[in-house]
Amino acid sequence: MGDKRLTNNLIQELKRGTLTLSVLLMSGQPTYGYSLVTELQDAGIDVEQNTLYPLLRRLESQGLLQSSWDMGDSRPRKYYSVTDIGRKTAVLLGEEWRRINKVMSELMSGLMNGEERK
Amino acid sequence: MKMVEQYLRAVGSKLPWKSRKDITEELRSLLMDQIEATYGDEPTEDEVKSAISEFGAPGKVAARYNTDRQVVAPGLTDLYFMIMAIMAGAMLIAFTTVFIVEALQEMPAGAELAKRILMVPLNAVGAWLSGVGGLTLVFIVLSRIGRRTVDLEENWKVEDLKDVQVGNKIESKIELIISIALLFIFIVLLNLYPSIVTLAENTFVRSGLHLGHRIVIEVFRRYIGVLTVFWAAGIVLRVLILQKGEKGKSLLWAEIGLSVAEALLAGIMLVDRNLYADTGGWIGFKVIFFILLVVNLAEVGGGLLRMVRDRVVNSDPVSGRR
Repeated sequence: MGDKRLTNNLIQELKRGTLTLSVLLMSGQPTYGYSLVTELQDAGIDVEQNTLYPLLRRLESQGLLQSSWDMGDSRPRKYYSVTDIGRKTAVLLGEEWRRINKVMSELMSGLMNGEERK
Repeated sequence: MKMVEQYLRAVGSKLPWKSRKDITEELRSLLMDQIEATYGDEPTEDEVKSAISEFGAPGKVAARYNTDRQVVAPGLTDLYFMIMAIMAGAMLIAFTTVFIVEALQEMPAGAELAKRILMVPLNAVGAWLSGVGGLTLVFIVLSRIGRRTVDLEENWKVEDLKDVQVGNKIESKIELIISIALLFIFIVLLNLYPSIVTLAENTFVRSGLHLGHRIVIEVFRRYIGVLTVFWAAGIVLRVLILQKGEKGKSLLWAEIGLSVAEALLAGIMLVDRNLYADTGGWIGFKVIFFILLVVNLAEVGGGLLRMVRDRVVNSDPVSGRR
């Protein structure tokens, strides 16, 4: 068994890479920060609030998300939604994700078979 | 909720000015959402405390919004600290020199001497701090310019490499560092103590040699500003060479340009009749200005030769294209 802390760090890195795609996929409809955190968590994506909120702003500055303040609720809320560029980027990222997934699955099955032979 | 406001104030104080208000507003909304979702509409003080604690330390929360906000780019940090150290040494040498010159001329004693000795490090630190301010501004500009140049880490194409200059590797770092220190010393000495020129002349005369002319200090003062600008440009140029580790084409052109300007100034000083009194020959500062003229012209010639040599060496041997 490898070092537990190191493994945890590597898992975090792995998750971070997929977070952008997850956010773009889940921002089809306008959504606010806290709601997005819970939606992601419900979908099985464990994300820290303090990782997600700055990411939303970064994606907005990159033109992948757009935002607007809604003053109608009990308190003002900033809603984010995916832009056209964000949608196209999500499609491209999705294709890449499938390709990586396929390659990784093949690599993993090789690893599993090796383990079994041992 | 006072505690939430206090927390937001603590986070806000660490956020960038430009987006502080917007981020704070958003964090307030997010934090309140979390509190409401976890503890309902009327949370107790302990529950609010717990929610804030879970949200994270103010510094850590703010840091996530502060990426890519460095005063000096990471690639320049070592150089920045090195120049700071060079400046500290140069200022100490410059002010010690001023102290020795003044002490030899005025022969202070007792309390006056002690006061002047004490003033040496104090003046050096004061000048160093002003210098660090200027240096920081230069490095901020360099860091911003650096961002716009070729970034080989991301979004790069092989074609971008044509903008990367491959010049002559610098032979000696120490030589550059010493010349930077000397230029700092010259700037401080001439600006603070222009009559050091007269002192040098007096020392020359005391040695028994004949001086053909003397510098008119009032006229010489007019040249000090121009000399300071040229030397400051020389410092910037050497810092850039140190940073790149080589003299690319643009730096070589800048060096040639500076040498032309310095040669021109030396020539003007050489023929400016108002600058000299008791003109009875060449022996004196005229010789120094003449040497400066020759050295700078030689540097211009050397630089141009290097340009020609580089063009020949870098040309395609088959097609002759560069």
